[in-house]
Amino acid sequence: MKNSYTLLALVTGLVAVLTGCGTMPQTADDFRKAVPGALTGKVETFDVNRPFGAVAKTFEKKGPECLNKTVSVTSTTPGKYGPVVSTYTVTYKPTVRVTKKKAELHVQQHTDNTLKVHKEPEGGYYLLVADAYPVSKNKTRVDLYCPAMGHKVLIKAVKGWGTGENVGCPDLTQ
Amino acid sequence: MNANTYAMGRYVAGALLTAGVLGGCSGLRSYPNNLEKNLDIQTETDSGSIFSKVRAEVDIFRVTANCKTEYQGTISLDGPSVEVGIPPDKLSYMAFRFSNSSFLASSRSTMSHETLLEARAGYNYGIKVSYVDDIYNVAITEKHPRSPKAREIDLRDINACKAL
Repeated sequence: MKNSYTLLALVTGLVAVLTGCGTMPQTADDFRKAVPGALTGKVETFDVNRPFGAVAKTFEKKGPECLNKTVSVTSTTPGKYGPVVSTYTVTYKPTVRVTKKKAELHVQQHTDNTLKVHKEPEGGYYLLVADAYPVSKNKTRVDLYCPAMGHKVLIKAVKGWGTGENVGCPDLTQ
Repeated sequence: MNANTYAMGRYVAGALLTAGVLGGCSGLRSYPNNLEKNLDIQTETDSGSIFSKVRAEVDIFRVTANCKTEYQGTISLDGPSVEVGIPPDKLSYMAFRFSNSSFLASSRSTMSHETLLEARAGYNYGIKVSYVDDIYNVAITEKHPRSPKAREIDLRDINACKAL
């Protein structure tokens, strides 16, 4: 991550806004309901010229391949009595569910060594949900629920999985 | 602030740490690459910024009968094409590492992508490795010299070893 503390702040901000005075989204459904009204979340809808089956297959292949990752960040900052070293790890958890009418990709994120104000769902806080639906034989619609700031590389990768134009993995350290 | 970020499978991290300790903390070592060449690794890297640089390498591991990995060495993927030889008809584990260093932010990060690979005797393997604008990909194809077509090989997690 280019600026790890900014990222943490953004995720914390998303978490705070999504909860308002309530609890964190505990399921993908909760996340879908919370994001549209959140300042730091957004919903993007786009159509791709690919059959639904192809999009679902890409989610099934790339989700686990690219997102079952743990990222470790070690940062050193000057302190009064010498360098201060901080380390934390972020574990991503992808979930893919496919039926005849819908393909879902959920991405959760768990961060060690951070204060958790709200109850964290199993697997981590929800970071992104992508839903794909068949529109016609060769067209699929994708609804993307994601942070409005940050995580650009992850969002770019998931969009690429939808369009089929770039099916690589996001560098989760950026 | 200096930040070092690493993302890699626990197997790779643990195996590299063990190799470093056993090697007297000498760190990574070059893969001998003295077997008949059966892999052709083609690499493309572009960090997308003039203020950062991406380096690609591959760590090669031998896989034992009980699915443990033993580090054999590292090959730098600093050219567009590198030929590598891995033992045929034996399981190998390959960890492709992308190290991104930013000059302005004084930060470094490493992302790793791993796969099991059993190179069949008599077959050649093409591996396309790319890292462009923070998106990376590793794609493997298998081809027999007498066959006109190459077939794509799925990447496999180390846990797939137990099922073999």
